[in-house]
Amino acid sequence: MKKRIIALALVAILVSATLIGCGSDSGTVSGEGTKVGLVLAGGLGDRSFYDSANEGVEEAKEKLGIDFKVYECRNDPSLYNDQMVQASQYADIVAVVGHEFGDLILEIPTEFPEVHYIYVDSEIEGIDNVTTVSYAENEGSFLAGALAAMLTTDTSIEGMNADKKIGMVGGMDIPVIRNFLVGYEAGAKYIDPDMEVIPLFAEDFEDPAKGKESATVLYDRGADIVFAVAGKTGEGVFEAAKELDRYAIGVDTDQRYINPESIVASMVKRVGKSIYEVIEIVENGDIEPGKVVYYGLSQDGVGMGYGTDDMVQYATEEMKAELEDIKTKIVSGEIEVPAGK
Amino acid sequence: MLRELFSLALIQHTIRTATPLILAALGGLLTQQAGILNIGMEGMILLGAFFGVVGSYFLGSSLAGVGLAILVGVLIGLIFGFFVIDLKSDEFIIGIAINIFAGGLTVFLLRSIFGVKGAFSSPGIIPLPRISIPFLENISFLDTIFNNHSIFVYLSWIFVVLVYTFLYKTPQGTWLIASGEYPQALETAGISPRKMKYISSVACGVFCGMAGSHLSLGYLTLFTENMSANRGFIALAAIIFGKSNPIKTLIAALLFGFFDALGMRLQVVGVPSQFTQMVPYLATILALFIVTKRQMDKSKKGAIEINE
Repeated sequence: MKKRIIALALVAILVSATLIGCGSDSGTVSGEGTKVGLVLAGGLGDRSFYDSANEGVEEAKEKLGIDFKVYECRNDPSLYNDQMVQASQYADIVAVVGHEFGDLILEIPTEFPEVHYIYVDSEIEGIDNVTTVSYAENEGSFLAGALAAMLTTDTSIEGMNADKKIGMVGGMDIPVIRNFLVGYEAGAKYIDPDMEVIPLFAEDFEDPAKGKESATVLYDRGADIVFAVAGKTGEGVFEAAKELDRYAIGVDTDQRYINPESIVASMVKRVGKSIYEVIEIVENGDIEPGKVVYYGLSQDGVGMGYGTDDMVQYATEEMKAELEDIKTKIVSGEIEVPAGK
Repeated sequence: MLRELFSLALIQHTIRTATPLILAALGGLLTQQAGILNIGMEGMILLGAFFGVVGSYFLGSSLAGVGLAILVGVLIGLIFGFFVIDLKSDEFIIGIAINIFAGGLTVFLLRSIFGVKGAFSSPGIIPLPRISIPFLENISFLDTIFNNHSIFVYLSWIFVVLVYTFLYKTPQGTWLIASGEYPQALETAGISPRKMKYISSVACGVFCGMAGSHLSLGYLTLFTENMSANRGFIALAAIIFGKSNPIKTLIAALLFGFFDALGMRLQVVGVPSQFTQMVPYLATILALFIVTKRQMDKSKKGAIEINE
């Protein structure tokens, strides 16, 4: 009997510690504002994709006075359904982030017709209470590829060789990541048609050790700059860059602060900005039902991040000017960027 | 193209990838020998990785990090042992509980200690030293393969020999195996199987603690949530593969590392990632097939001999 009590007590401790670990974060509740639920397939703290989404609701809280809760699924597929239903029961607007929700977004919104859904990284049309947001990752990556091509032959920078090779580590071989790749490749070839782009898919968004090995393979093959499009796996890419004195390009948020010595720039995908703006439109009641909202270079939904001024700048003013020039050409349609999704 | 694939870097890569597997598997095979199926290694590695970073960051020394990771390993080994050995709980469930617990606890502590979510990297994390063996430096290919690895790479090989010697050359090792195979016999000999099982459980915690701290202080210098990335389960596969024999388990872990490294290189030379992803698993199935086939042949032969 005594043993049983001890066992029960221990189980209780273990379970409660686990529960403290997960759970949902709530923005401090104040007043009767619109409630927003942010559902993430992964978790906060990736310093990239999901964190950017979170910035969007934070901004909405500040400027529009909404209340929000974050529902993290930590890549556990068994939670996708539950967390989305939970969010739908709590909120007036539910922002759903992650390609993993592709099937659920077709089902759950029909059960909660009074809730408005924002689904990023998708182009689904025709469900009245779902607004999807599609990003032109290819346009932003075009700039990243162009910058990488300009830098990789610049032997005046320590660690760069003359080889016309650049690399990319992708988290998974899925359409969104492919879209980064084709843009990156096109951008590099726009600067120099001989530029070789070597992609490598780590098949994991959460394994930095694998990211480090992947980047090492690419650096071994003569690529000096590796574009990390792989969530937390990308952290390993930055480590490899630091250790081997090579360079990397960050993704989604401006990641230069992680290691300004080796991360030359970031291709920023402003998930947060788009979520904020869609929330604003829904709040104003101006939303068109069942439509796709596009975020490309012209909407400032993607772009380049060069960190803050106190960091070493590898991209010179001329390079930045040239990238600005390319950007205007893409916006005006003079350069057509191929799409991968 | 073959030259590009099978380079010295491939072997380096194999060794690096295999090391955390070897360390964890050495612990797991001890519990396996003692008759406990331990699927909690995944969580134990994760805890080791986290507390390695905590120790290194706050105490300013990588050794302190490893020490703390080992200490936590001892503790979690004792908890695991208490549930499985004394309370006779289902080892499978306790293993899963440890994995979930480790996942939750590290996320929670990451937020409350470091105030960050997801990932923590800082120049304040002191990495484990890298080592070169001086006499190998003169031979260029041995130098590239075996030198400039993190210290645990070499330690893991020494541990393989030590665990092997312990299991098969010392009476205590035999007791440990007996505690799993036939505890009654051990009891008759006046030795407590419970004690041997506890030793194996704690040793497993220690080895997983080392595997984790190697991952976060040797292999990488950062901590991210779930950074163990199923290595505990792959280590378990290596144990089953190597039939709990340290040498065979080492070979299995190296094989896993090799195919992982090969898969990546195949992708770089243009093989689609969907195929390269299959390489480690295909190789595993193939190897399992060969091992089982040989075993069956052997037992068949044995049966014939008895019949004669």
